[in-house]
Amino acid sequence: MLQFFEKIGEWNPQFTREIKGRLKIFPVLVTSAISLIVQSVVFLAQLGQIPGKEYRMNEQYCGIGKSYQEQISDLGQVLTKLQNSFYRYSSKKYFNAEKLENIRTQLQEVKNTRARLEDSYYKQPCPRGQINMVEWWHDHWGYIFQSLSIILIFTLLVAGTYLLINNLAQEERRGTLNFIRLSPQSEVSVLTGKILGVPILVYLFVVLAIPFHIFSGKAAGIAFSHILSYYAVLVGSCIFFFSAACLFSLVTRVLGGFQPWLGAGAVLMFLTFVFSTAQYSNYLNNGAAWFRMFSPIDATSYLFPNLFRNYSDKYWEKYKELQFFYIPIGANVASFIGMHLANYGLWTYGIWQGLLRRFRNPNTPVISKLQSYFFVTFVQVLSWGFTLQNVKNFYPSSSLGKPQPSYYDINTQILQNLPIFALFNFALIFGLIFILSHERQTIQDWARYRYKGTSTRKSWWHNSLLRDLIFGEKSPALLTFALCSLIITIPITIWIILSEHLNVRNNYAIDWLIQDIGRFRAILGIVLLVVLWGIGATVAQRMLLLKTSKRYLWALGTTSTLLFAPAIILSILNNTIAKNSALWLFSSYPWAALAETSLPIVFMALFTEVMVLGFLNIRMAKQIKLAGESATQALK
Amino acid sequence: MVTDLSIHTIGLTKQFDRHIAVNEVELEIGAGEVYGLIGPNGAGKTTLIRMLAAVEEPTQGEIYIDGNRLTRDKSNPTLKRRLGYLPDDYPLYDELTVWDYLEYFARLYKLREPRRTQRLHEVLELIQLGNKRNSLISTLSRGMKQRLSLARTIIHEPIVLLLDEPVSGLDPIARLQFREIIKALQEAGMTILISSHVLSDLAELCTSVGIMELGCLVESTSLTELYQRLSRQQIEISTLGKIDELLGELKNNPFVQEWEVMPTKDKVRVNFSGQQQDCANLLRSLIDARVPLTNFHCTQEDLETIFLKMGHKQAS
Repeated sequence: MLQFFEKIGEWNPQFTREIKGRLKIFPVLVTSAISLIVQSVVFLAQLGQIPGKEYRMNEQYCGIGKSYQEQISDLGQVLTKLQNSFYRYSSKKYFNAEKLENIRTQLQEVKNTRARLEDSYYKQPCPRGQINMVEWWHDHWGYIFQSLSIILIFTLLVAGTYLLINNLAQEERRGTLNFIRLSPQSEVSVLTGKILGVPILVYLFVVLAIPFHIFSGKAAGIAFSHILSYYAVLVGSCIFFFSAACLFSLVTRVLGGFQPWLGAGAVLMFLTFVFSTAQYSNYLNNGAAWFRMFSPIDATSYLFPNLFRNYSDKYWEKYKELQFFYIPIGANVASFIGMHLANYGLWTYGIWQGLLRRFRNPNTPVISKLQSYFFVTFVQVLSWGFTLQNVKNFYPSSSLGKPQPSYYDINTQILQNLPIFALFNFALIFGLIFILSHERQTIQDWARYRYKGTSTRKSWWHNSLLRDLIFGEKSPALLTFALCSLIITIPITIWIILSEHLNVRNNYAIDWLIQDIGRFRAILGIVLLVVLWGIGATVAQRMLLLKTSKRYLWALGTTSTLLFAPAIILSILNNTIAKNSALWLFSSYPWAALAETSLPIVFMALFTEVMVLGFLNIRMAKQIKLAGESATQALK
Repeated sequence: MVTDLSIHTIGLTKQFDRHIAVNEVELEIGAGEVYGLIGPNGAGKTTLIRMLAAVEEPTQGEIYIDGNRLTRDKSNPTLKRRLGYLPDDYPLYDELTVWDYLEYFARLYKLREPRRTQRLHEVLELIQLGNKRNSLISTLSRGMKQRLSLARTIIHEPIVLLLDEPVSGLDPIARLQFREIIKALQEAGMTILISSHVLSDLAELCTSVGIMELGCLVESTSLTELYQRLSRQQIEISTLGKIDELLGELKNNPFVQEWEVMPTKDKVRVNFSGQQQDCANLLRSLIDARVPLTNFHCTQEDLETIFLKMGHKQAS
């Protein structure tokens, strides 16, 4: 055992340090006890429902109950027939008193028999021998398995995230993380050690539950491959969430002791949201599916369809329809699970790029400019991939009863996803503005010492300001935002141009685009929006050059006011004076006014915005130059 | 690059807003030296040491450790093994025992068995915490914690040690123990850069000193040269007789430049520019003049006086 620890210690000292502090007798015993208690509670909750003396015949697992039910329904049919005959012979045409009397007697007899049967069916207990215990156990093992599956997901992800964020934040606050940084251990080794070691007691809780989990799954007749796939997704989600937790704690030091609660709270809310919505429907047929796939709950629900069986089978079938760029990934388990794992894998890779940068140097932006281009492109590919899915016809027949051609087409699908695009890309741009914009010190150093990095031997491009602005680590990031905005808007612009040709079903979906606004104006709207983003980014950068220590707060306040306040105020006023007012052109939703406003006014608005952007940038360039002056120059 | 320099910086600069904390510092510390860094608070000593330890990124300039360039954006595993850094605050893991703490860092620095255990024993003996090896860190005194931090800094046998005010807040005995450890480390061949306000300690430990002021390294020289250049010889003379008699005799000696009568009125401190022989001649002349001497003591100005004389204000 000691040698085993020694080996682990050689492999990853951080992991050894974490488990040494945690795997002590008392915490291990308490965790084991809690794990066993939770398993017992799940088991006993099902066992409590085992059919007993009170088990009635009308309940699900009573074998004889079915024959009673059949007899009752047969008698119902007999009753209907007798009643019909009664009406027939009581009419003037076929009146027959003798037959009526006969039928009345029969009716009475049938009613009595049915009442007797119903009484037994609903009130009498099911005979012991008639209860199908095999099926009962089969189903209830399934319930136990499913409960444990969900418990494992929530426990691992929420508790693990909390512990990791708490631990890293604490080490960063105390200053001990610096010593680890100074050691020759690689960042990967240290952070892997943390991820494996810090939540070790949570892992213990889960590992102790696994035998019972597998046993209940086998008892419920669930395929072993499905159980293994569940574990694969669970491990993938842990790696993803725990890496994200590490990054979160490294970038949000300003939050102080609130960090772990915020991080774990967000994970809990996200999982709860997915869990509660997965019960009634699934929301994977949209451009945000990749985001929803961060939670392993949909994959669990796909693997074990019984999970939400009580609600509807129909909804589960929708998982099967999931597509990515029209590739039917929902069609089989391998591709559905594969997609989840690929999603985790790619995002985890991205997070680790940030982790490596940030762990080594806490003052550096989480992503470099080059990485930001890849990141924005990646999000666009995911969003468009999950937008471009086929949808079965929502209205299979018209009022005339004839089957109609599908109302849904690519235009409808994209239109429905525009709000999602807007939401994610706004968040993306807004986030990037704050990740990539540098604060005063960095810009000052860049302006002051940039020339020292240049070399006369290298090519023009290597020394050029343009290259520095696009890729440089310390240069202002405004050109980067411009490029990112381009990456975001190009696909949408292409769609607007092509939309008329894509309207193969001749429906009304894009009438507002073609007829109300017109494609040209719609594209002008995009240009207006991009220029507004540019102004927002410039203002944020300007605020970060402030001398006050609260510059981030100022930047956040002014930029969000500039980007969001006009649209909010105008939408509040929309029903009164501001209906489709030209002021909308200066908001984040310029399309509101584009249909009603004449082109010269639109161009005037655009011109004004460009002038403002230009003015702000020239002012800032001057200021940066001033900041970069040497102290001697400043004295002059 | 000259390789017999353990630490070499070229134009090392760190700027905080308009304030230049470290200004174009060209530091050269030879292998095996103990280099004392002195200067008033805010002179940039801590920032300089932090940059040398790769904790802080320089705004401009280059750092070479043992002839190899140190940069912050790379992992530098080899260079990191050669550096030991003790910051002025020394955070520890309170929940660990002394042994576990040191073993953890030994592992981080990739020390393998059996060398690791051997090194742990060596270090514990050096810092005199062998009897506390199984105690929790939270139970240690401040001096012990300081020594434990030093042990953490040297566990991997670095070639270069960077110590930022290691004796601040320690009692005289703890300081004495600390000085002994530093001497032992120097004998082991480590190059040590040490910043401190306790100049008497530095005078005892250092082979060279550097003086920093307003971010600039205004003086960097060996201690012997500094004494030669700036330290004057002083003689303390006490008499049982009248002080005027003594002063009358002193006036006749050409090497006596100035004197200061001590408040007790029986003692004079004389600044003397002559050699040892001249000193002996002075003593003889005083005895010949029958001045009832009770004390005749040749000294040199100490580091603190030299420092103050240079116009720097040093808080000790």
